[in-house]
Amino acid sequence: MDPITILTTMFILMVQEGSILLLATLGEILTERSGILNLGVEGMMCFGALSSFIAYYVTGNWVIAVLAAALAGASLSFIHAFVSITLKANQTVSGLAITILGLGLSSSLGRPLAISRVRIEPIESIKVPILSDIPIIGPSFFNQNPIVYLSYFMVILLWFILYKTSFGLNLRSVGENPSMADSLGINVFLTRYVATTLGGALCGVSGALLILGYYPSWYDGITAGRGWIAVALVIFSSWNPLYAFFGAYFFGLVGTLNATFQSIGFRIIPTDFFRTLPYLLTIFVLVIFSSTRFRRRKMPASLGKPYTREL
Amino acid sequence: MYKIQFFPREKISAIKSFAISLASILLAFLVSGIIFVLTDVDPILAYYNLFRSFTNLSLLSESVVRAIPIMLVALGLALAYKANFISVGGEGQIYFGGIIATSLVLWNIQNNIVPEPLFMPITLIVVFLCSSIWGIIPALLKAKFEVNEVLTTLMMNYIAQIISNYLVIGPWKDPKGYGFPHSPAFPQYARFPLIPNTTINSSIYIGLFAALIIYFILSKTKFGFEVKVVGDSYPTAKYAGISYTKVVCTVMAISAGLSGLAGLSILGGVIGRLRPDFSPGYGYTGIIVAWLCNLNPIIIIFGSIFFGGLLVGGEVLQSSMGLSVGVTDVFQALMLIFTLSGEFFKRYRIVWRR
Repeated sequence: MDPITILTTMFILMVQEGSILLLATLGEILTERSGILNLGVEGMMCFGALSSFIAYYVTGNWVIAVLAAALAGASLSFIHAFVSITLKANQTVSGLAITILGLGLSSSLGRPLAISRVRIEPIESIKVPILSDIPIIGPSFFNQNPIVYLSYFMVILLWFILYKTSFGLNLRSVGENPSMADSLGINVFLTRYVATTLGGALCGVSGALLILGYYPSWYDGITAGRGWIAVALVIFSSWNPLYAFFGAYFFGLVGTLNATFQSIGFRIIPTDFFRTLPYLLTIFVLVIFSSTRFRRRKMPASLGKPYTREL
Repeated sequence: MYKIQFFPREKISAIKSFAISLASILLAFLVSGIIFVLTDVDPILAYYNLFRSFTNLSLLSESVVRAIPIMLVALGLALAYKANFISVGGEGQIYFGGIIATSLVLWNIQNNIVPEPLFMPITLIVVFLCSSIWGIIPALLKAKFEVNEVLTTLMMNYIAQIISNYLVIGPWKDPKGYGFPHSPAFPQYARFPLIPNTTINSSIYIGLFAALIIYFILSKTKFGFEVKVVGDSYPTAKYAGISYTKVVCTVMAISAGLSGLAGLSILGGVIGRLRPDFSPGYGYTGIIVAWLCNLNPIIIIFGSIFFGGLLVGGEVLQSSMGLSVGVTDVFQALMLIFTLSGEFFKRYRIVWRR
């Protein structure tokens, strides 16, 4: 195989894997910017994946499937919002519970699908005229299904909302200093509810992309830790949607090394080693980006802290 | 219009606190009952099957066997959580412990160096120490670079499981296993003997002993006090001259060591060889048990048996009613969510005002 073909295949896989991570990362950025830490991403992603599978299997309409996934993610994150915003519970534990709940729901409701091995047709790619003719970049970034294009759009949209609208300014100030925001008349609780629920919806949609784009049959544990990698990517991208774009594709690239090396017949290192790479890399990146220099100025100051109004 | 207001409670009576906990658990039952109804399952029959482990003696002893690894993991996690170190690495540490145990067994089968009666005691120590080192990694990363421990411990779970599955399918595959992916069987001297007249293996003593040790550490030692100070308030600990690094590394060494022993207890007590995916999520169940038992080592003993029973009940559900074992995960998660929510009503009292 010539290098161009190999590189093109690699980039296609990278965009597939990266876009899934990207949607979930954007969702978690939205949530964390309001000061709420939601570790339920893995569960919401998985439950979203299952919901989109069922919706697509029943209706055959991918838009309905995406909406079903968004609804699934939003309902789980709404539970987290209620428990951590209104009931002021420990957000780490609540998020873990959401993950276990989402994985459990997916596994129990998805069992008939896993046993019968039903398959769905992946939704079709749409070629972007002109742009898709660029070598390597074209076939990978611009010959994808609509949900991938949605993920590009969400990067811009979320960046615009966060930095160019008054809602975004309110959201960020709630994440930085809730009591100050409250005294300025911003509804802290409502803002956090909206951010957490919408963020969960995006995590659900990332599950829809996983199913509708690339994994057309259902099995248990289909998300394979992608949700957790997305949580790490939020730190990696310094809570900024634009950086998340690069982070997600970088991780997408690492996630595809296993398949790539297998396809070119590279057998010196066991391929299982490449399967551990995304997880090893996540730890490595976390070490670098968690150091004070990188994080202090970027992390929403009230992240993970419940807000209580002074009486 | 009525208005709801919340006021912080000064203190709460034991009866009220117990009533809130009970109500939380009943609500979890109710909501999972609703989920059963929505998915066309008779909830009464489902609960009957789910709790059959507590009325049938052979299922009950199976539950106790399942409780052993859960107990070991939950005890360690309780200690870590007391120091506010939210480890979710139990599952990976189980696999890591299993890898170390299997490597010792295979090594001794080949070289026959360690005398048979000494093998198990030495294995216990080596598995504990090696797993401790594995567990100190995220603690050091947290202490030195402020790396979020939830993420690092979780990533390490995936890594340990991949390594374990790789070994079992690759280099450690039993040549006489007819192509099945498992290691050669552990010899008799590398297995935990059964307690006479029961089907429960003797690794349960390790769990019970660990519970006493953790209880002792937390309530009777200076170190236990330091753990609680670090957990309550990092600035206070710093002011009091308590080394954060020392505390979190020690709690994680103990926690991971115990989870490693949980891996050994599964292989040497139940399966008798290394298999792919040999832990059905004991590491994650341990997290829930630790929180639901309020991080109390003695309550954890009973909580583990309860959750061991739930796991067995989940399998009864799967075989008798065709439901997925995931049902027990849903039930566990709901119990955690409701208990967590119940904490709010222990801290605040509700006032209805016109």
